[in-house]
Amino acid sequence: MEKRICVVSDDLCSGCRNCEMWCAFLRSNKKGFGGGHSKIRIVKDDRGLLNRPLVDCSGRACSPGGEEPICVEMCPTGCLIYCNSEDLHKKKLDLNEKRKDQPVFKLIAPWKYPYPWRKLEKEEL
Amino acid sequence: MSYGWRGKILRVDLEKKRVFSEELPKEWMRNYIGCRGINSFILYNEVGPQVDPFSDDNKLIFGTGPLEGTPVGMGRVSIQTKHPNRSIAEGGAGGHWAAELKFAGYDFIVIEKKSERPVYLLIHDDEVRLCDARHLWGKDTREKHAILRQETGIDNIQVASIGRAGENLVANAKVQFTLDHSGGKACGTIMGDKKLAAIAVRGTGMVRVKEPDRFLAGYRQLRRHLDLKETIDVFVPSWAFNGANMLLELFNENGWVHAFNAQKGSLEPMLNDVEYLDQYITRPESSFCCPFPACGRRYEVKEGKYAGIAGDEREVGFAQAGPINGFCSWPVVLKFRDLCSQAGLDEDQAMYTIGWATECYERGIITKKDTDGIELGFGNEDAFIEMTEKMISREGFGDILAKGSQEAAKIIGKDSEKYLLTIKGKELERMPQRNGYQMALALAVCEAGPDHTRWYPPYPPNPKAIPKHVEIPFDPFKAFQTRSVDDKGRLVKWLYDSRAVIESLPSCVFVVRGLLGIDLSPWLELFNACTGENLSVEEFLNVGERIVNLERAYIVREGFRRKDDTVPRRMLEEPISDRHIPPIGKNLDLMLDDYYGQRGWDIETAIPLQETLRRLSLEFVIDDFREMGIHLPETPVKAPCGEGSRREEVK
Repeated sequence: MEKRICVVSDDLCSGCRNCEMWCAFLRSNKKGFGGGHSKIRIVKDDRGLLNRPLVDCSGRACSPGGEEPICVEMCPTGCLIYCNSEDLHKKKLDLNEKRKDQPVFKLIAPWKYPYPWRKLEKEEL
Repeated sequence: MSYGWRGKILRVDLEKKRVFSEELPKEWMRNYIGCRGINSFILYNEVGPQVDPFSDDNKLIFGTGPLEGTPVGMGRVSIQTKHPNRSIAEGGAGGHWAAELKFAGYDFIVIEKKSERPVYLLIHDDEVRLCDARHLWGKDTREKHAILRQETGIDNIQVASIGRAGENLVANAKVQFTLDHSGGKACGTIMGDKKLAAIAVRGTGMVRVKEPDRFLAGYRQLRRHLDLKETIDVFVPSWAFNGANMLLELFNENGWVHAFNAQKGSLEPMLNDVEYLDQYITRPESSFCCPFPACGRRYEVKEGKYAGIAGDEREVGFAQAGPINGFCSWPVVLKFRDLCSQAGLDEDQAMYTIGWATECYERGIITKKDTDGIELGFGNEDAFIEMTEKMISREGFGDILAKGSQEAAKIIGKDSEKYLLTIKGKELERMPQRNGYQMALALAVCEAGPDHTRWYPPYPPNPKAIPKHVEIPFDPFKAFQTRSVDDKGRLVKWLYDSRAVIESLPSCVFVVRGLLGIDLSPWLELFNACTGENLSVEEFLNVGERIVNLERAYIVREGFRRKDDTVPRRMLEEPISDRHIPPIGKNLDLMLDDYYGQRGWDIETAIPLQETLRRLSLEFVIDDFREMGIHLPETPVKAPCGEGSRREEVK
């Protein structure tokens, strides 16, 4: 199955627009940032209730070898992933499952912040 | 063609309702870079000592810098004006507003004169106009945002606005950007005085990068320093999800909290960050291109008295309202956050002023008669919320508190000023001082009141994790010994200079962590790659030093001297009672001597020496001081202390 740039869950999008800016950067032949060159766009409603990434992209233009496209690389929460529809489904289940145990997965995807976590040691403080 | 900078200043005359576009001089870019640096330069040159803060001639400056609009800028904007107490009112804020301003083609907006009727400024690329805002006046900031989005019909327009606090000229009112990002204490007040309700911006242009591949490589490096697994900074992972929340517990354990108006160092029970994340946080909500997953978050109160409250928060300073006023309840502090955010009220002013009034009430200095029947008392949550509302609307006793605690103490008298927690007339920002002398010194010498973002972060990088090739201009072991005066001058000077230049790029000081906080070369690499400049690390740091000296010159010209560089009396004279931590006492004076010596300032007056100003190419300040008759010392009166001379610690 073909890989595409997928949104795992709207509520994992922090609305930071890293994806939008870096996509614009590559699509403008690296001239700069902004300018409406991006293939991905974050829509925010008037009252800040949601961030919705709108994307319809196979990622082939910026990752001819199937590596991680730049929007996925720069996404800080793991909301964007590069996979086929079957993997997307698995990731969604994984996210929902892990959220039950760890509230921090409301804020970041488990694949972006895998165990083991670093803990603050007393002597480090 | 200009890289990084868009090269334009927008000047808005509110009286004649005219807008001019002006070229940004190349010399300014090189000497001050942008954002906070150029703002300070404009303020120094255009708002002189003769200008009254509430007069037509005071100016309000919104600035961005060369890296704004790129992912390194992180949406930072610096707002600057003359503070009502004649010092500098400066603050940074995040959000998406600043990036849109860059995309629209402007680096700076200078607001001049006053309007008779409320207006708002609309910037949509080349279309810039002032519009009637009578229908917006009196509305809260979120409503202003929503109305302007609907009214203009411009997709994704970003709004900077003031709320009722700014409109009612509450002392330190802030400007709110993109819903719940805020900054610029007292800038909201001056914006209200100028009757400018909002600035709505949308741009579709580009911020160009000179060397794109180098820039991308530099950015990847920056992200690696902040990577949750690879960073050498143990606080990065906690910060990435919890913001300052994780500090609540840490502060409380170590007695760093200003509990009960800083009479104590901790509160039991204390607000718990795990409970907060579990019950009140719903999802991440970031500034423009923030590299952290959830430094900003969206909260929601689902049940109880305050059910239905929702908004964004970051850097959870507002939660300290709990310990300062002696209560422990997430819904109440979130209600407080919501009130402040909607009204553009400064949380620090509100929480410390009410904390101070509460102590005065408990000591019998004020009574129920003064407070309009409200029983102020530590732990009285309802009274706290009620008083916050009264401050915003300036009703009854709230009108006195709205002037700020220092002014309120002058009105109340009866020794109430003994319990103030203010520096240069502004309320503290929750940073402990008796337990961390570097913080006490840094807050005391800050040109813009007790601003902690100018020297952030207050904790040391782990000295063992610092790579050998990184040169640090202070001894990290000595400098971060919290209750000693050793090497604090060099540390604080370096913190100020390096942060000044990072704030001028601009970038967010909350990512200046780990190696990024002690090594400027990743920042310089990004700056050079973006703009095509070729600065060295020394030149880069020199810019920071120049900015700090110019800001010092500004407040010197307004009459501020060494006596104003101090911390609240409580920190100097009273111990933290529940922790047996002694007051700072004369140690502050030792550190000040050291700091001024390191800076090349006169130790008696804190005025920069002529040779320092010359070294930093600030000759115009020398001429200015001469004209005004301010005595400029030639050579240091005493030898700088640094590693030696007057180092006698007072226990």
